[in-house]
Amino acid sequence: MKPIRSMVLVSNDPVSIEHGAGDVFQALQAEIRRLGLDEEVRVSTIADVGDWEETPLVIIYPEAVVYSPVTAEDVPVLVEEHLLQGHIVKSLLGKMHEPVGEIAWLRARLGALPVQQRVVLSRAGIIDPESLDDYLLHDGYNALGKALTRMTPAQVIAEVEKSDLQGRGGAGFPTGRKWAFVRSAQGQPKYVICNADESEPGTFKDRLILEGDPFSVIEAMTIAGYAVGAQEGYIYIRGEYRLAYDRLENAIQQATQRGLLGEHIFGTDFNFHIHLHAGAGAYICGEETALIESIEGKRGQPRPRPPYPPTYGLWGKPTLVNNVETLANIPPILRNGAEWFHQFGTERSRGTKVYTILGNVNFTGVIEVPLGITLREVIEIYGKGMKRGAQLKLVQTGGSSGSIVPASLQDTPMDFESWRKAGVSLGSGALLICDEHTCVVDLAKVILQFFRFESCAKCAPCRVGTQRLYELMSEISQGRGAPEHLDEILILGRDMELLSNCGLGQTASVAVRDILKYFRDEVEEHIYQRHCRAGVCQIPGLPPAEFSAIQQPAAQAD
Amino acid sequence: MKLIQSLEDLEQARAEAAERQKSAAAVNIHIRIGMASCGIAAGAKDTLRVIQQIIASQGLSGIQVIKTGCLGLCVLEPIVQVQMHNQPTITYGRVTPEVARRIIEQHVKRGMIVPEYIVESY
Repeated sequence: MKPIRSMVLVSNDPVSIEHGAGDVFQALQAEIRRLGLDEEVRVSTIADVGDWEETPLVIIYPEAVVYSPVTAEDVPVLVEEHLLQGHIVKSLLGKMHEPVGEIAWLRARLGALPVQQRVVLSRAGIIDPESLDDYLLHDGYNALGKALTRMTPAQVIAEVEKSDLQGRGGAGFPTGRKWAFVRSAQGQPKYVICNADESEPGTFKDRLILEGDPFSVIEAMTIAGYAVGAQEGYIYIRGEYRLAYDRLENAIQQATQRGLLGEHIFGTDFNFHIHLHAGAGAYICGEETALIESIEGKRGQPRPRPPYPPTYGLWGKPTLVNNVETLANIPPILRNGAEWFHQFGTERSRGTKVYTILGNVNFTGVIEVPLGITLREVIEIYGKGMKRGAQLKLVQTGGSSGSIVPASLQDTPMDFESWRKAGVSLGSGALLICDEHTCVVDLAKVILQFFRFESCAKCAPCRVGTQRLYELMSEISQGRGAPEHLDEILILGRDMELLSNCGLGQTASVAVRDILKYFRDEVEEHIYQRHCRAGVCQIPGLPPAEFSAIQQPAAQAD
Repeated sequence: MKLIQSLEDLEQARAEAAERQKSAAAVNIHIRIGMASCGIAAGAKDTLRVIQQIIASQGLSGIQVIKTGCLGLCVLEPIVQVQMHNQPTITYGRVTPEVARRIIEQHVKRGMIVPEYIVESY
């Protein structure tokens, strides 16, 4: 399946509809289908485009060109010229002026880093994370107050479901549906767990939320507890996050003192307690069932699934496990309503996403942008371009278990659906941006070294597979690779994906598989020509056997 | 402190919180310093100490120093934001103790921003 290369948005605010936006939308769809572009081009609508005089608008990404006013008659020319041939149709261009409506999409594209558009990080870096006063002064606890005093648990879940919020831990499961599962599951008591064991290399978005705005996570967990019928909550926090742990502890204490946590919250009959549980440094404990085992005091190893945590979780009871970022989305959604949340992101992937940008770009740090913007924009606008003007080679998304995205896919909109279509996982939100001086074989070796170390060794495919993959990649990087190694890697990777017990083994081979898919020639170069074009791998000039015989004593003498 | 038992209580608590922040000796200058892990690793504790020392030794009044989390500009830490008399907030990046001294002397005391260290687009 082809990756999506363009996204077309049609304005559908009331004025645009009056001016025939509906016809334009249908004409676009028909024309795109007629030319066989429907796999590569997505057509969607956008509600609030601000104060444009001439509507309807047609906005085409990734170029972010605004055409206005567009009629159904213009559509064939537009599709033919712009989408098929790649020319901008100058005669149809809209008058350029700054969009003023509450439209996150365009704002994100203006080149600023818009703090005001943040949903999850709206308070991080602004308020004092150790002060409940400061949190209250920035809309804190409005959402919980509203939920407890004016809404039933079912209404809370309905609102979350309506918002189309998807889990931000990596899998993108609809949050509202998960809540409904836990609520309807048989068994008491129920538990809410916040997964703050953020150990994916390169990801630190949750730490930023916990350190900068710990009360929001506590408020959200309390709301979740009310919605699913739980009275106990656990925050499983990564052991290295000492500062975040302290701030959460302080936040829990302050909230309890003011009756916002504990017994009879907001004067109702609802009780909720939160416990902190620090991890001990195991990557695998970020997997939800291993995390549950760890809280129970057992060795952190994943359970066989099903049953899934919503029916059989902590101490065998129904348990809701949500990621920190997912939870941090809850208070703004309840405060402002699901409709408000729909203004961010794309039709199928609502809301914003927090990304950590790292690697060979000029700006590294954390950004929160609407879902659906492209990698090119992240690199050019937020990353401020590649370091030293180098060429983009690839991006690894979502940490070590994530996919490798080659430069050719950088115009694919980053939302759950488009990326799933392109075979990429959005993952936890780390974007490791690599330039041409990165060697893919070396990268694969580093990634596999990590998995080899972190495998919990419960199941054989993962325990043996990660070790063997690392050995093979290691051989190739030293110029001792053989052509049949590549097939072995692919078969082994597939087997691990199919047979491993949990996500660790299932995703350990993703990066290697992607590298062989997009950069096979470069890997083969290591094998056939014993050459590393990036100059990273130290491949000796002599055949391997002679090399080890001659060189090793000399190296020891050094 | 009073328990928050209803939405009215919440509003009241908020008003009290605002009152508490205001009554802190007529504050009209806010200095925010990023104290998340990234900021601390980049030396925010030294920067904070210098700022507090200058304020104490020179007896400057009306200044509130607030420790915040991370803005997301990790590469530019330590970040210091200065907001004076309800003017727009100015964000400074890579604020070493020396830069912090300049910011206090120039910006906070005399109202002249220090352009070299301003972080744009924030």
